[in-house]
Amino acid sequence: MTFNPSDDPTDARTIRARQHEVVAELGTFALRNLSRSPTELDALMDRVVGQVAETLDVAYCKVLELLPGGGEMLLRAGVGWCEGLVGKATVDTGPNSQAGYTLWSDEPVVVEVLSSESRFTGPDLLVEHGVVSGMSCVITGPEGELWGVLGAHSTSLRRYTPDDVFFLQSVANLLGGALQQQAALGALRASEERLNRVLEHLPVGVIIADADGTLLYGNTEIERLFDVRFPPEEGDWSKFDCMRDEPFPPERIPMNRTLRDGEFVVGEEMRVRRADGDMRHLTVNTAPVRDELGRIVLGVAAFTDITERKRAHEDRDREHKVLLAVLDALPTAVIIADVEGRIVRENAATGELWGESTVEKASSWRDYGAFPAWWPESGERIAAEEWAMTRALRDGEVTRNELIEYEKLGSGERGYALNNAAPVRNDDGMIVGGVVAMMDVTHRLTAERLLREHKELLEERVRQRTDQVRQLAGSLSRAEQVERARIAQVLHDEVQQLLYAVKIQIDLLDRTLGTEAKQELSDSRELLQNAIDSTRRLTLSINPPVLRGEGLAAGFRWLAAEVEETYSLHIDLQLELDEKDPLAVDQRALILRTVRELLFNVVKHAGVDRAVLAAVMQDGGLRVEVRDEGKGFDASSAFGRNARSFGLANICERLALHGGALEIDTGEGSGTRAMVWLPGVE
Amino acid sequence: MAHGTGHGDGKVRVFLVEDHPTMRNMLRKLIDRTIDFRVVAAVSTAEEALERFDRTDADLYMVDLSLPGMSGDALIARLRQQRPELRALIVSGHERALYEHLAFRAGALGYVMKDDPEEILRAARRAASGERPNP
Repeated sequence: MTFNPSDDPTDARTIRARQHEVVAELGTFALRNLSRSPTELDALMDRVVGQVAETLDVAYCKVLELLPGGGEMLLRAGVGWCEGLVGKATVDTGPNSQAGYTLWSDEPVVVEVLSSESRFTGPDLLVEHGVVSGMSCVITGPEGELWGVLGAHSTSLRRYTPDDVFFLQSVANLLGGALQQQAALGALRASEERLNRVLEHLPVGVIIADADGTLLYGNTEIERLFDVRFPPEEGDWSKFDCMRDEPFPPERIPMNRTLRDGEFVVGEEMRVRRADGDMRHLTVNTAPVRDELGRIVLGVAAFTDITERKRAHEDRDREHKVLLAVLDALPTAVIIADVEGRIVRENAATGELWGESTVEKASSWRDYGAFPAWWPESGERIAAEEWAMTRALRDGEVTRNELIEYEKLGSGERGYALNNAAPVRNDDGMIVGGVVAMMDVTHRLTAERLLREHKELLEERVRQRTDQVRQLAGSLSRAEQVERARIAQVLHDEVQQLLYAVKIQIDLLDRTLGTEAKQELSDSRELLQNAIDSTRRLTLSINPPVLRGEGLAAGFRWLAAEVEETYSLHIDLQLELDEKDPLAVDQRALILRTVRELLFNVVKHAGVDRAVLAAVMQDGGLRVEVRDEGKGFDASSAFGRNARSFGLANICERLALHGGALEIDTGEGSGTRAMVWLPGVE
Repeated sequence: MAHGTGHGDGKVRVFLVEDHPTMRNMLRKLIDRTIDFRVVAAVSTAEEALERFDRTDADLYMVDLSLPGMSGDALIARLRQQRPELRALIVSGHERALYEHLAFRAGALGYVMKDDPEEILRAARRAASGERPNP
């Protein structure tokens, strides 16, 4: 018996209407529920197999899902089947099964009698459940691939109408649509998740508001920036204390402008006082999101925290201002140029030095020739390529205290300056500019010149005074010498002659006397001889023969003889002098007394019985040396004024008056070498 | 006598040049009291000596070194230019060590100190014989 519910046209219409109703109901179910959760797909499949079995009035309905690999299909949902099979049982996809054949043919397959089917053999699942008739349709997946099979099966002979086939295919298509929607939703959720992850990790605070200004979303960074938990309690953007120079009026808040006017705000700076009181500097970018009709439905704002950058910039700005203040406070003109030599900055002193600003005067080093300046030594104008700044930029040369003469711009007033220059290099060592410091030294040079002139004047006065003192000393020395000579002459020409005469007279008397008287007379002769010796020594002492024109050589010989006779000190004379020397009387007297003092020194300190006296005319002067190999002495004490009227200190003073000098090289146990130098003697 | 003079009394004739009058008189007395010398002229300056030189025969010239005007050694040199064999002796109060070379350079036979009369006469006798009185 064949059951055909559509034989009656009225019934057929009723059934078709019912089938349409079921399709519509399943579609509504899918639309309402599938967007909520992925598990809703299973509920839809359960509902599909139930409704299809009921509507077609069949014992079994199943949804088979093609498993990966394509060899088997899983009984994903079903009704009528033995318990435990749904979700576990599989069906071979080979051509011997109805499902496999359906996939292969890719069109609805209707089976009237399974046992007599020639296109395929009945699979175990159908055979074991006593299936007689059935039909099956392909379920197409989200990408248009074969996803599975929807099948309806009866245990009695059944002839399915085209409406039945259409119904089953419609449900299969609905299921395919649901799969497609499910896949789209999954992709959307994954995309949203990725977007969220990106937004949460962005170093930029992001806020999304709806068209009414209600905050929909704020990422972690926005919570950190504003020190609030999102969403804020009131959900109102105006809650945030945003400001630029002063608090924003609500209509100027960037998000409000975007939502109201569709304005794209780009890089607008603002300050935000956070809940904890900290002030942050931000830049904000906003953009409206419009629907397909062009209506603004969302606003997106992105905030970047530039507080540290701003503070660093402010620090740099402050340092820069301090540097400029220092530059302006400097009394030295400072000029800064770029790598081309264009003057980009100058301090206040620069304007004072040059008379006007230099900044507009040079667009490159080639313009430096416009600055009137000269090399002081040659008087030549300083060319553009010769300036210290040019050399710093071109050669990296560092200039220290280069003197130039310059003329104030416009006034013609000239002055002097010391130029110091150095290149400015970047981290790679490349020259990127140059600095010149010009110090005006006009007043200093003038003061130095005046000081030099004053010093020269003083020195000239000192020279004149020294000459006067020397002349006076010479006059005194000569006067002294004249007086000494006069006394010596009296002693020699008068006193000594009389004594000699008396001596002769006694001698003559002696020849006439007896022995006793001779003895008395002998005593007188001896006394007389003593007197003669004394006066002779006195004469020689106060007026040595050298002073009477006989020359230094004779004087030294006499002195050597006297010292040897008086003190038993042998003098080795090494004289390279002519008998007639060119010395003036006072010079001779000074030298002779000096040498006598030095020889006395040998007698006193050296503890030797011989010394050397050497003299030579050399280099336009007289050199005399007295040396011994004795014990040496403490020269410092010997230079003090001692018992002798003419000590070494006195010698030095008198030699200095004649432009001469005395040097004594001595030490304990190392002998003594005294060197006398008298210039201006030739 | 050891003197080679050949005039009447056989004494050596001495020409004395001494500027100090007392000393000059005393020297004249010293010489004249000897048996072998006599002073034939006693003048006080070199110029006076030159003036009397040609008019006075003398065997020995005893000259003081320090004289006003021309010095004694210069006088001897001048006289020896006129009479190279002239015998002269410097009689001086100055140190021998210092000035003896001047005497010899002028051509004198010796240099004797005024403070030793015995030495003066001894030197005079040697000089008169043409010997150098000083070693």
